[in-house]
Amino acid sequence: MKRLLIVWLLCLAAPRVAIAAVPTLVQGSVEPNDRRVLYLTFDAPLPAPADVMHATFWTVVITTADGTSRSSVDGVAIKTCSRLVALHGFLSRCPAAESIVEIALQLARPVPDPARQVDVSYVGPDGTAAVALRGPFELALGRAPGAPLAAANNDDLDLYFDGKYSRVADEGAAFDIDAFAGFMRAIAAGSSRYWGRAGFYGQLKAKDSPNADPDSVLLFGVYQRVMGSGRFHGPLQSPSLDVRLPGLELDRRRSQRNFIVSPVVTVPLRLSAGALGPIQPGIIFPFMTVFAGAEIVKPLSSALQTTRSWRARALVGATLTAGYAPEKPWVQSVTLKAAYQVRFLSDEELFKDPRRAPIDAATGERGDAVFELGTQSRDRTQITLTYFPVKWTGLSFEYEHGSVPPVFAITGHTLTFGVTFALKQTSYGRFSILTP
Amino acid sequence: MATKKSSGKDGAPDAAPPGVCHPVVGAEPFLGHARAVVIVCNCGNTSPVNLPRTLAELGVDGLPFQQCVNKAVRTAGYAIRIDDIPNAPETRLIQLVTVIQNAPRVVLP
Repeated sequence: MKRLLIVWLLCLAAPRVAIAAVPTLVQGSVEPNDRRVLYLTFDAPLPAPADVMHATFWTVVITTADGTSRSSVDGVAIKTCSRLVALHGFLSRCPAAESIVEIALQLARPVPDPARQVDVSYVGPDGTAAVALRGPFELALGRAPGAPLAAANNDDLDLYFDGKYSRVADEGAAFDIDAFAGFMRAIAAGSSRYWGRAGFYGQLKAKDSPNADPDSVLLFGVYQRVMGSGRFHGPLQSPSLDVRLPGLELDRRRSQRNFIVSPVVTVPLRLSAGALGPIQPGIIFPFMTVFAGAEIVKPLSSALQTTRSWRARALVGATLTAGYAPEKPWVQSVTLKAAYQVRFLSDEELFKDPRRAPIDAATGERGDAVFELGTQSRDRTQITLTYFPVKWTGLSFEYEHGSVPPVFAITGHTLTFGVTFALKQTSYGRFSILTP
Repeated sequence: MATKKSSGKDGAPDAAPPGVCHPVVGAEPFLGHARAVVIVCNCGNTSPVNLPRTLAELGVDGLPFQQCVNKAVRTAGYAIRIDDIPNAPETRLIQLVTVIQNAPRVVLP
């Protein structure tokens, strides 16, 4: 009977333990102006204020070149969402229950400079959490009184590569390549005026090619500038202007070379009515860009086009990104990325459509399509669903249809499945019509 | 005569009107943590509860966001290079706070 009672009590207690919010510390930093203060940030679900306020819940260990020492916590202060809203007039909502935004630990002695690492651990009623502060920004290192910290050392290189190679028995090999790379930097970054960003990009694309020779090579310089303050206006962020100048569109096999100038205006759009309330961990809020612009083209050489006069294409399109990234075993993330663009031509340009390929009278089957001239609109759709069971390797399902300049060889409705690898993207500033 | 109140030891600004993207100009030698929180949350058009979230999770485009932060820091009277403001999709708002809170006050000639 006594054993049954113990089992029953354990059963009652188990769900409470299972559903208890396990605290997670995501960030910590030393206050640069008072090195006795550490700022700490919890991720959701946030602990209750009373569960973190006791100094005895906190342990701080400081490691320097001379060794490791423990620093006692003299006091704990919290910043709650509703207090910040009251102070600073945020437009967005706080959760129904009071929630902690940040915690400030006041140490008995300042964190020395230089320091190698500061380890903060929390043992409270909700469980345990720990965070390590490393690096010059978290530790506010290398600053004599009155001097600023060194630059954040951002990397502005943008690199994307998606490649496939397939070989079917009794048939030739087929290459699919979709890659781009670019470099963007702010112009006169230290100036008090905003001059925008400039850089250059290169794109390669081959679809079902018998060799690794790309169908489409685009090389261009880009000037990029945000128009306005950069703030949100409802769901919209300030638009940005991207100008490709100078640009080249190349196709070696058809000897097609075009000079291009292309201004494009892009409007970022978050699919929320206004200010965004608390977001649960893992949700990637749906985000779109809508763009419109023109491509002014001068054919420099062509094996098929007879005229070399300037012509224009109107360009309209959109991109969409959404996903869920719970970062749990076997489900690191699932992301959906889509891009659509359509070009309306002012004059005849090359295209190749497999649906218009001549029919072989003997076999009754369509042969290889040939290049033609036409003014019909040229669209391209690309939808990619990526599932990452582990952090950097995943599976991708990609749908593609349409064509890209300069020769607009139309790809029929194709669905591909493959392994994908993720490289961490360190900077934005990507030319806006590229894959998100 | 009204006196200014500070919300924190790093010189937090007074209450700003709703929707203002930058806090009141401060006199401290550095931007400070509290002002950095206000700027970052306002530019992301979100609540301070989302400080642990990344720009991608919040559906924020890094390019105009970076410009907003740059402009707000400068309007508050502090200097920062626009390229020093991280704006990658994986950047957490709180990481941005850590970076920009050290922006030094502009010394006028």
